[in-house]
Amino acid sequence: MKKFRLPTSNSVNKEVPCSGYQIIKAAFQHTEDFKELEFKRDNTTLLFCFLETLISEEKLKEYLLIPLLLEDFKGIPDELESLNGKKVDNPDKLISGILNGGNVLFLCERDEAWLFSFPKDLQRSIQEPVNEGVVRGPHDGFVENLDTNISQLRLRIKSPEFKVKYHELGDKTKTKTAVIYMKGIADEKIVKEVERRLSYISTDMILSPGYIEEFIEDDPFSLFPQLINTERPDRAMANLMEGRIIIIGEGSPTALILPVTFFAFYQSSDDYNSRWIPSTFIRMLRYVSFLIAITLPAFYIAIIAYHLEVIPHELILPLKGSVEGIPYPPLLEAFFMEITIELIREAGIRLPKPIGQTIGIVGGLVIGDAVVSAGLISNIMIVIVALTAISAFVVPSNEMSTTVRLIRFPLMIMASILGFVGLTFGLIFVFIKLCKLESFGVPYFSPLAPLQVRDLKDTFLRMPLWKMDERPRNSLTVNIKRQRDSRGWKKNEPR
Amino acid sequence: MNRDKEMITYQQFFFLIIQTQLGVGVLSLPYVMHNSVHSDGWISVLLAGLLLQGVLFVYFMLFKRFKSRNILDIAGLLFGKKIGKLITLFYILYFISVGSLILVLYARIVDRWILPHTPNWVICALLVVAGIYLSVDGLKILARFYTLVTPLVILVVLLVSYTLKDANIYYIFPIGQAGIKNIVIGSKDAVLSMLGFEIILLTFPMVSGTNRQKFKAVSFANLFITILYTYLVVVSFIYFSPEEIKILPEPLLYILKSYTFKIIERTDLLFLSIWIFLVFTSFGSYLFLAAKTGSKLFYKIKHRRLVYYFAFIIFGISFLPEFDIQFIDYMSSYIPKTSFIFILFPSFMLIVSFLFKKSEQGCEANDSNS
Repeated sequence: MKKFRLPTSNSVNKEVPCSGYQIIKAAFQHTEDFKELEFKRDNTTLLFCFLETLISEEKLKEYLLIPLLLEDFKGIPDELESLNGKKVDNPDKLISGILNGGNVLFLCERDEAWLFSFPKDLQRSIQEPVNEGVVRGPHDGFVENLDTNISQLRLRIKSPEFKVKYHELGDKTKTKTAVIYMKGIADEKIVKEVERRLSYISTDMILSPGYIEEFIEDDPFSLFPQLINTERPDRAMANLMEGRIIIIGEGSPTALILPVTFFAFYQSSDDYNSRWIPSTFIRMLRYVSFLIAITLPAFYIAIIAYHLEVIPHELILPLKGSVEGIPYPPLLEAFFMEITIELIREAGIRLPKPIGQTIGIVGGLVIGDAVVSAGLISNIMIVIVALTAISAFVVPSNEMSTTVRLIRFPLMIMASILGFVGLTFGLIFVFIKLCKLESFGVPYFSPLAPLQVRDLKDTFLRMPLWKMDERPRNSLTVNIKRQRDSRGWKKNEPR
Repeated sequence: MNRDKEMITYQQFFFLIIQTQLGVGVLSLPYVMHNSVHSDGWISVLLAGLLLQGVLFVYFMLFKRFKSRNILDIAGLLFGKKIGKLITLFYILYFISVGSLILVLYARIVDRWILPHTPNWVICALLVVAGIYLSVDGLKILARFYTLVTPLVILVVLLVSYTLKDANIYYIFPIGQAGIKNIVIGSKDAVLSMLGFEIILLTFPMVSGTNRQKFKAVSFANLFITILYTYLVVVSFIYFSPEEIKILPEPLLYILKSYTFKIIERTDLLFLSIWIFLVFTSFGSYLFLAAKTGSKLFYKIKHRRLVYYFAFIIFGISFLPEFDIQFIDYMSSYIPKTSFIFILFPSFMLIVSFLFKKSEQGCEANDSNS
């Protein structure tokens, strides 16, 4: 390859008689990473304009400058078209082209503008998502680049029914956002509804899918998350194939899945990577964890404060003994411990790993031992709070885990005011809310409320894959049949 | 309102009915039955189920003649607008009074068994607020919630069944000692404990499915409740001797109180927590029914608003026993008695519609703007 050095000096004739150039020049007036280069070839002035921070210099050199300036020339339209250029008349399009990593070439004498695209490749390599690890199964994750994410999905689903629709969100940031679904499996009505809701977004920036989520979810005042956030392409793919819709935005590795139900938050890719009996066990364990996480501290408070007679009499003395010396009411004790644990958790997130461990040890020692020997908190409260904390983190989804941790506070207060009656009413409120909530027309607590017996196959249990011949109805899929008889070989044995 | 939004399936209809029926009465049912029929009370319960099936059939005939109309619309068609409105008003009063009866009885039980020192109005306020929260958003939410909590009934049955190991079957023998006349009369009390099926009168047209499917759901609900009640009555009768049961107003709770498991000492507290769910569902239904009926009379006020108003009225009524403790007894003796008028009124309507050969088509012509 011939050597070619990119000139650094700005040697543009300010009086170039080129109509679009003046507009572009005005638009990028004060930014210093805007670059212009002027060359002459065969009596034509070639004027290149681009943002050097967005463009890949290598590519620009190799695919545009060298062929145009050093090699043989076929004549202007042919040569430029063969280099993937596009003739553009609209100056606004030129500006947005430059902003998307393009390079504008003005042919001054002909008064034409051509747009080339050499975007810089700015992305980290594909890694396993830290907060959604699995034991078995694929270890790749989404990255910040939208195209890479979509190609990860496309590589998994090689079907022309895989549809992508782009939207530009954010008046200033123009964040490219993709709505992805499987035609013929997903319900087009929901796709339309999603696009309708997206079209109302008129904020100036879209920071993350969290923004989109807040703008389009059904009930923004509910504690329960109504869209799943995932960084796992395999999870996204499985949901696409069940007829759900994925939204991915440029600049964030998180995909949104909708419509979802409560129970979807308790499913993990791991469930499908191991065999069905252990998966069922683990899934049941997660639902038990949900119940423990929201009710256990409240239950304990109710017993200690009101119904000590409920526990077996062998336990009463030890329990009473551990509570006896504590000066605070059980609710205060529980709040103190819960908040300490939340503090340790929050501190642990942002600290570098070695310090995080230190905090863990200090916190663990303080909570586990010192607090009890200081006589602030009872022994059993430690057990209860620790069990609750662990249970809350069993949920595979971070959003739902936060929700679970938050719900238990009102329940604790109710239990401390009215004992079991308070706890019962607290649960009544939670369950009514779950019955009321809908996500894009899907009842949030289905298949339990409304009861959908056939969907229970993949809710509490994880039935064998060859039993799940149908897609779940709660994705509102239009194509319910998933497979015929994948274990048909059993019936037709070879002689 | 969007019609589709309010429709429930006939499977949900089943749960709606049984959850409305199961309520405060369950706890004292064996006591009531023993008071009137002695150890043959369970036969009366079976008989009541049978009688009820007849009543349900009458309802079914009525709804067959007037498709997609509820009882109030039919009353308007049969007796004219003015009387129709009067009937609506009476039904509102009825639903409100049953709602407040449930509230008062529930408060009394909670007060006696769980929270003796808590003021009654706090306990009532909780139920009322939860009831509002449930019933403002329409029948669909009610149906979903009721389906969700129905497994608790199984838990109740299991808890009660555990006591069978100490039962004495001879307590209910000889069968039929009370005499057929007493058994028949006693079935009246059993019917009262099954109140709640009136929800059919208003919600029948809000259920999707053929008439046949709906009637099947209704009949299964009746069968379920009859068998469940009979079972509970029999269990209490063979657990307690006839002498004991006379002094135990809530036999089911006493059964559980006498049992201890290794993990939980006072089973009755667990049972009561479940029972609160059941009471709550009945209360929610009546609040919803009152508001639903009310929207026929005050059609300018939204359902949501009416729920608030009626809940407030019911809450107000729940204060009356504070002034005079006798009031509970008045309520619990008079309200169920008057309820006979309201559950039998549809059969009168059926007779009228037969006599005057009125059915949907005939009435449309007379009353085109209804």
